[in-house]
Amino acid sequence: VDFDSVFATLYPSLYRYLHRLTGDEDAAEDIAQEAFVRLLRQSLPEAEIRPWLFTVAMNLVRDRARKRERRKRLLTTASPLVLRPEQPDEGLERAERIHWVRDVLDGLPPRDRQLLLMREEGFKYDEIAAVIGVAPASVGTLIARALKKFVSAYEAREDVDDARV
Amino acid sequence: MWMTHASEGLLIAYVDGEIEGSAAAELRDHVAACEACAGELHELERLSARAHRLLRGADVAPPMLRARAAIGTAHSVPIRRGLGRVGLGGLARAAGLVLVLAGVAAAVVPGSPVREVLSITFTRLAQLVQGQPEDAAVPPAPSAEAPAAAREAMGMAIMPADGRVRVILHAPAGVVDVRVRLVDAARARVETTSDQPDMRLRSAAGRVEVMGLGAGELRIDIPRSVRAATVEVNGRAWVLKAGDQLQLAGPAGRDRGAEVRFRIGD
Repeated sequence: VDFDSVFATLYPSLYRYLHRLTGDEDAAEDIAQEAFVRLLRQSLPEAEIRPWLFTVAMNLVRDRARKRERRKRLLTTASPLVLRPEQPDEGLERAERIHWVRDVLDGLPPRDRQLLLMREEGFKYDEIAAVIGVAPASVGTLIARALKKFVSAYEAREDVDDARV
Repeated sequence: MWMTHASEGLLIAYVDGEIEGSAAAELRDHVAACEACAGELHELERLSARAHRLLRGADVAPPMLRARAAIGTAHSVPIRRGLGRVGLGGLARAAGLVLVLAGVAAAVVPGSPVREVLSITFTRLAQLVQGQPEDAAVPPAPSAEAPAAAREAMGMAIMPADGRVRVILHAPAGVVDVRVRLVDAARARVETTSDQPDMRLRSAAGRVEVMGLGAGELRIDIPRSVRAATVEVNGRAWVLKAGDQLQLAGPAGRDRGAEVRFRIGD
């Protein structure tokens, strides 16, 4: 399998998944990069590459979280310099909505978050079950409940905001 | 005929295409006859679409170029070792010698034409040692507009004109992550992963114009040797080369819906 074509196909999906999962652009970039570097040392059938990458990435996310917790300090990655002059109202509103999505995702149990995000990346249920470590037959039920939690929590934020206005 | 309602797990599996064939047909028949299950299916479809939109709305562009470059560097290590066995050591030593000579000549004879020649030699040898052919990532500067279709990354390289370089972004849209850095190279380079189908790059003497830039990553390399350089958005300079450094020139940011984010350096 040509590495460049694998990279071009899978990197955007892996990065998007990691960014959604962690809410941290730098962490997503570092972890996705590390997963692909490790992939270079593997010899895998094409069909196994994607689940392998996501499994490795998930392990790296967990390792990173454990280290961070143990050391009790935040990652020292530099934030991008984002210079924003006065934003129009629509820009502020969009930023607020993105913040809500992040908050709601962070508020979900980790397993629900992973289920939702892997589903969004188009994984089949048996692949999700293998990566997350649940019974394949339970994936549908778990996804349905995670979906309901996610959207209802977001819509509750909207309702509060509407009431405020 | 089903005696009970379909579970939410079964219904979402149906939405996700996990149920096929006769099982799917059976479920469809049941949903057609069962108001409660039809309502639940409709709700799950709504939740699914809503979740998708919310998640997409908070996404950022993946840093394809930076990641591929970093992974490529890591990947090149075993390749370099392999070359070493067949004589890379000699090449590296030769390159090192020329680099020293180039540095001495540049320091001793500022402004000399020899300086420019050695500077180019320096760049090419450095690229060889790193396992990168010249212009591996960026095609030679085309003479006219280059279409962006079907490219993972698109780029352009130009020579400075009268010691100056200008990079001009016209009407960017979406979140644009711009990295500007000084490099030891003769030419300025602009690369982007923006996937806007109508994006165009255009070059003129000492100038690159990027039109129709969409969400994505833009990397700009400015030769350290130029006397002046600017990165402009819609006619206004946001990054300047002042002396030996790049500086942010003003409050870059939103412009007609675009969010331009600058980083100086690697």
